[in-house]
Amino acid sequence: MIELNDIEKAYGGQPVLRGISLTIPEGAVFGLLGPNGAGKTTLLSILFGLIPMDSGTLSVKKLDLRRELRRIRAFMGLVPQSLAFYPTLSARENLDFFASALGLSRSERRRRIAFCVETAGLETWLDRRSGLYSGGLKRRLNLAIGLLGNPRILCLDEPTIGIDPQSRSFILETIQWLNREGVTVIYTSHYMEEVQQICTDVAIIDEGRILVNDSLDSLLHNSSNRLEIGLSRPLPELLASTLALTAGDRRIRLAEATAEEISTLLKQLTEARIGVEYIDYGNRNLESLFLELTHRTLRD
Amino acid sequence: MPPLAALLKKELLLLGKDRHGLLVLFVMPAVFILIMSMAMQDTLGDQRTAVQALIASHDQGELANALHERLSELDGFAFTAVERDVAEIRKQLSRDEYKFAILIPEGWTESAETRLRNGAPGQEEVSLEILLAPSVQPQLKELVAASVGGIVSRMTAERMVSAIGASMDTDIAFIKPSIRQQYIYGEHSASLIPTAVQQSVPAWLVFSMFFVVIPISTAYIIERQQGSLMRLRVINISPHLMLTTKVVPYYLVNQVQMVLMILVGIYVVPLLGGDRLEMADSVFGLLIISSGTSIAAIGFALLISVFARTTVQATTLGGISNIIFAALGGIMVPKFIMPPAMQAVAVISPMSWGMEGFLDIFLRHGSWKDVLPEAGGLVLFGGVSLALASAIFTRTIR
Ligand SMILES: Nc1ncnc2c1ncn2[C@@H]1O[C@H](COP(=O)(O)OP(=O)(O)OP(=O)(O)O)[C@@H](O)[C@H]1O
Ligand SMILES: [Mg+2]
Repeated sequence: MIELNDIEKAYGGQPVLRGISLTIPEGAVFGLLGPNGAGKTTLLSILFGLIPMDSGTLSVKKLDLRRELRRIRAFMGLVPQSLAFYPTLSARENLDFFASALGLSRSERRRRIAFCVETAGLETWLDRRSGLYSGGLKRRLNLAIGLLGNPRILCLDEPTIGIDPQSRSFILETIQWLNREGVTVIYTSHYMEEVQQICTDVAIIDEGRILVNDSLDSLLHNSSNRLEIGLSRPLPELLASTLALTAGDRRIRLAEATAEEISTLLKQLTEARIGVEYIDYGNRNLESLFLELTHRTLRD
Repeated sequence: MPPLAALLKKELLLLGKDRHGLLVLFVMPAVFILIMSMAMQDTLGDQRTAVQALIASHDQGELANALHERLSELDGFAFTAVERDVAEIRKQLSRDEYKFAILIPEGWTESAETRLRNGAPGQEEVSLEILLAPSVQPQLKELVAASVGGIVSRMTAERMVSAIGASMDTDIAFIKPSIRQQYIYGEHSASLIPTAVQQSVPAWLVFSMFFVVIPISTAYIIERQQGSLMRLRVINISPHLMLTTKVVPYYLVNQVQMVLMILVGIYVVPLLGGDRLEMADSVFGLLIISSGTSIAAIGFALLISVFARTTVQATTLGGISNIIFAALGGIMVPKFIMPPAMQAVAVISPMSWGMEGFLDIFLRHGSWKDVLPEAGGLVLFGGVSLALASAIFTRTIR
């Protein structure tokens, strides 16, 4: 129900988005996966009308973004990548301010704030200065404020950055729960495990281009001939050069390998007296998919 | 709560939590006023030497001569007899060379004697006139009236006793002298010298009003950097509303500053042994000049805020420009001490406009009309700054 069509955006002549076309289905948890600087935040900013796009069209629930921005914003919620609240105010004061700025009546406000506080687990910290919160708590407050407007579409820009595993799983579970309650979620991240854990649909973006866009299931379970072998010791130079691999690596990764190639490889390893610690064949994860698509890892 | 009210309340809430901001807006000026009022006590408004006054007698009658004599014996006043005409005397008063002048008009002795004989003033009563320099404070004015009035009453009463033989216990209400007191407001009034407290209160008030740049820019830059402003845009709050809702709360803060600093001048400075600030005659004039100053200060603060990239940049830039405005504008060094060339340069500082406006009221006892030029300049300055800030803001916010 969100349709992006050939969206382009450049900053001072430097292209950042180079023709993005996507369809985000209603009810999805849509993962937008990409390394730093890929253009994720730029895309979300365009979706909320915060920056204009240079060309292309965008519609949300059949409403054209250029003409119906205010109406579109009314059912969308944003959890920005930055901690977008007032650090000198308490969580309660922040929630109260943003709820009032939404124009909610007193009773509505009270109801929504109670809901968001509970959803984000902020009860015990409500009256403390929010700038003094732990990283995880700050992220949860950031999420809570994004929920105040009761959005039907919730966009989260790297909501788990820099927090501990407990807070991370709390936030991920909350997002899944919201999705079950009928909220469509757009989730940007460069943590593939997270996306793999909660998303129903995935797009991988790199250097302003969409590399793939499909449901998570079909991306991961398509037949694959990917091979990864863990080694007992680093690859010696001689063998590395015959195999066209990097000397010193503790694993061998091939985007594609036939059964014959695998047995040859194993023979060569045995001859070089290199032990095999594990063999992973035919499985795919997002990280390996990304590697296949871009020939580099997501984190660089 | 409508969004507008929420945005206004937010600004005050943020200021309430901004300890540095509060310190700079309320504590700093109060401390400066106290220190400077004490420090300049002996330089400005020296009260211990005799008050210089003129006496011009155009009456050669007996009573007039006697009055002249008795006045010269008064403690704390130094009279200089002159024969100059009233216009010349007014000029000297308005230049503050003398604090007041007593004019004994022709025929005064005769008029007083008629009054004594008939027990009532004649058809054309001739009154003593006291002209006061604009810098004369109300206490001095009262003192002069009482001293001169007392002498005249005593003199006429004595004369009545000896010449007519009436007893001293007859009702002497009718010999209450007729004296007219009048302030001089001349074209030279701008060169009047303020007392220590008259200089300090307006100076540090104007200075601290401009320091809204610290809390405004700090709050604004944090909300821009952290994305609170982006959040407000996402919920359809217009950039215009975001900016204008910063003006009203700080306007109120500036007015509170004014009231508090005037109270410091009236009640706290005397406690420490300084002069008491005399409350202005024109409260409306005060409101006009403080409104002008406030608009200029807030406009400038917002301009700095949208211009600066970090809070450090904003507070440094804002602080330094305020100090330059203050040094130029007669805040740190009173304008009348400056050489004429520097006084001319002072005009470029908006703080000097605010300062002059407040002096119009506190020192020159002007009315609201007298502050209109300064207030107008300040509003213009504030308006232009605000328009520029708004243009930069709407461009940078996306
Ligand atoms: N206002 C701007 N002016 C100029 N260039 C910008 C601006 N905003 C972003 N960019 C550039 O656009 C590119 C995409 O940035 P964007 O923030 O969308 O990436 P991202 O995928 O969100 O990255 P991250 O994971 O670091 O958040 C980057 O190269 C960035 O430097
Ligand atoms: Mg980003």
